[in-house]
Amino acid sequence: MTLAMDTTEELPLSMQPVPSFFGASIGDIEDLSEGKIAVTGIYCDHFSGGKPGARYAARQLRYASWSSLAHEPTPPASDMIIDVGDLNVFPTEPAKTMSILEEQSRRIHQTGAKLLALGGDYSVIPALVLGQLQATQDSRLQIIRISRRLDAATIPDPRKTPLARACATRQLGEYCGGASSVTLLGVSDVTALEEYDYFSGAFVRSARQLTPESDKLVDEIVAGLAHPNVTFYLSVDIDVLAWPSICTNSPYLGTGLTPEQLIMLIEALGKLPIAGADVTGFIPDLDVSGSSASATVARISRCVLEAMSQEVSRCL
Amino acid sequence: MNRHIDEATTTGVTFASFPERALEQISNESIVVFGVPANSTLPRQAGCANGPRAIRQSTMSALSCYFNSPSKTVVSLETGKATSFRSDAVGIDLGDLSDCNELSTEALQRIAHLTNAVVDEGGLPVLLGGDGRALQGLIEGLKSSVAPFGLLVISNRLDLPSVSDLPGVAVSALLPADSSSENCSLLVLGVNGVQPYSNMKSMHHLHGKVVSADEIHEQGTQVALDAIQQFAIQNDRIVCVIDAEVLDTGHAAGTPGLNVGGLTPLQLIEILSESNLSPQLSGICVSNVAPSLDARGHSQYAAAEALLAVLGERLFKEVPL
Repeated sequence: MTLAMDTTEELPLSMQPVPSFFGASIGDIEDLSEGKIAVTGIYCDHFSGGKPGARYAARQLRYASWSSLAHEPTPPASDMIIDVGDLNVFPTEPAKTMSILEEQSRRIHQTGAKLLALGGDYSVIPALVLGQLQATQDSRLQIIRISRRLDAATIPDPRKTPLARACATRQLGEYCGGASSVTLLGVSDVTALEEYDYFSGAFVRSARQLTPESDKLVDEIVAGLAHPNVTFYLSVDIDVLAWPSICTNSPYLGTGLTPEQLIMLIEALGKLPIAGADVTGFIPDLDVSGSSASATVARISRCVLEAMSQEVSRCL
Repeated sequence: MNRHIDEATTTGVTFASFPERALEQISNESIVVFGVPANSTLPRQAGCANGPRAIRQSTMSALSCYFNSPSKTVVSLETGKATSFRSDAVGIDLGDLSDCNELSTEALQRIAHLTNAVVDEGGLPVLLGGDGRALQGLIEGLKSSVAPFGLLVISNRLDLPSVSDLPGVAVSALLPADSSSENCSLLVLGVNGVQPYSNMKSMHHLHGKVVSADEIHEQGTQVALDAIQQFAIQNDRIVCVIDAEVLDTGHAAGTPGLNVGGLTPLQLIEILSESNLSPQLSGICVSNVAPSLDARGHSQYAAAEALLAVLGERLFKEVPL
């Protein structure tokens, strides 16, 4: 049997676009310039020591950006946002991964664009921040880390373990001038004594301490700054959520923030000049039933993007 | 005694990094952990056979903040109190009981026999389940070897489910009825949903007390803590049972049965960590953890945290900051 086709009649064809973060246009480093935000995925969860699976988050967050899966109307993508694809990594070679992430981050920031890294594991973030610092020569970069964990263990021999989640925040602090350059929000109530000591002079709030007073938080952070003209790197770990349907590589106990509280917190932080950001730690379910978790994390990631966009708009 | 422990089933991870030892090496006052990898049978879902292994692994995960600290000390941001993992905590892991994938009368007898042997050596038996029916074996073993004890059961039901050829049995039937005593020797926390009338009736005969999940949701965890405090005054020795099915299915789906409206992991852990039962413990049973039914791993983690909370002072001590 043959299928008779009437070529004179135009068939109504509806094509689903290639999935990209928040429906942004897909581009490369040549498309970046000042006033742009490069959104990139990290296909890497090999150095956390926790439960694997976060490497699939970038892919799922792109799918969750489709309006059919977003569970809510999605605003049209802004011209300032470009999905530059996933960063190159070498999952079995930490030294090589560290080096190439640092280089890719540096090259993106050298264009004048800002970088938002989505998915993957937090252990690779120091490499991205190091690349950013090399490109921008920003001596007053402050870190805002929203996570359940302090990740401030003693830094091991960097030649043997260049990427390690357990000491990643300490590493960021060292890059930016010490523990006082780090603000930690939403941490678990119980933390290791040595890590607690390391951050004794830093601004640290547990999830319970945070929830009633998100509005005043930004003022408190600004009041504690040694210099008035600083920029911030915002690092959001999904493990801060107390939400049983969202899986992260930290064990769930029911303590932490709700997605709504986290979104309100990020919205409040949008008042600050954010020069770079990441959202890590989300382990997506890889079937249709997992779409609600991915959509929730996509909403949080979008909120981070909007916080960064505010700073870009202020600068233009 | 005959060796019943299968050494290969702990897959390299022991409870709280305790050494894996044989029964003969138990020292006085030590925590003695053993697994009973028994599956539930229809109509309940299978999967509990992997429970002991998952609880051991989750316990290591829960203790990671202690073990990642060179001084094995953690600090509470809210209270400012520092707590150390005891370097002098004495415990051993016997491994998993072999040939008990499905519980039978013979398997329960072997659990009783093993429990009895642990107690005779001066150890505190900690059973990692496995289907909740294994509790019957633990209680039988304890009844023949220790002084009378009170039974604190944290579960959504008042009975142990039927397994294979073994019919269901009321929790109250595990204890000897002593009509002369006015003391409450059975306290069940977190009961949820309709319970058989006969089970409630037998609870009354034992002067047993029930605190439902609804009461805990409505009045807070203090209602459970008050009940435990009263129970601890009336019973010098306590056997504590943590049935993972007490947890709400939305928080912890990895159990053989469903429990809609159960406790949250936080409620369970708050109750156990504030009740300070460790000096009075005669035995512990953690059961009905089916890791394969909870892809996110919340159930085994909650069970492991609850077990650590019960062991309390036996594993942790407050230290000056």
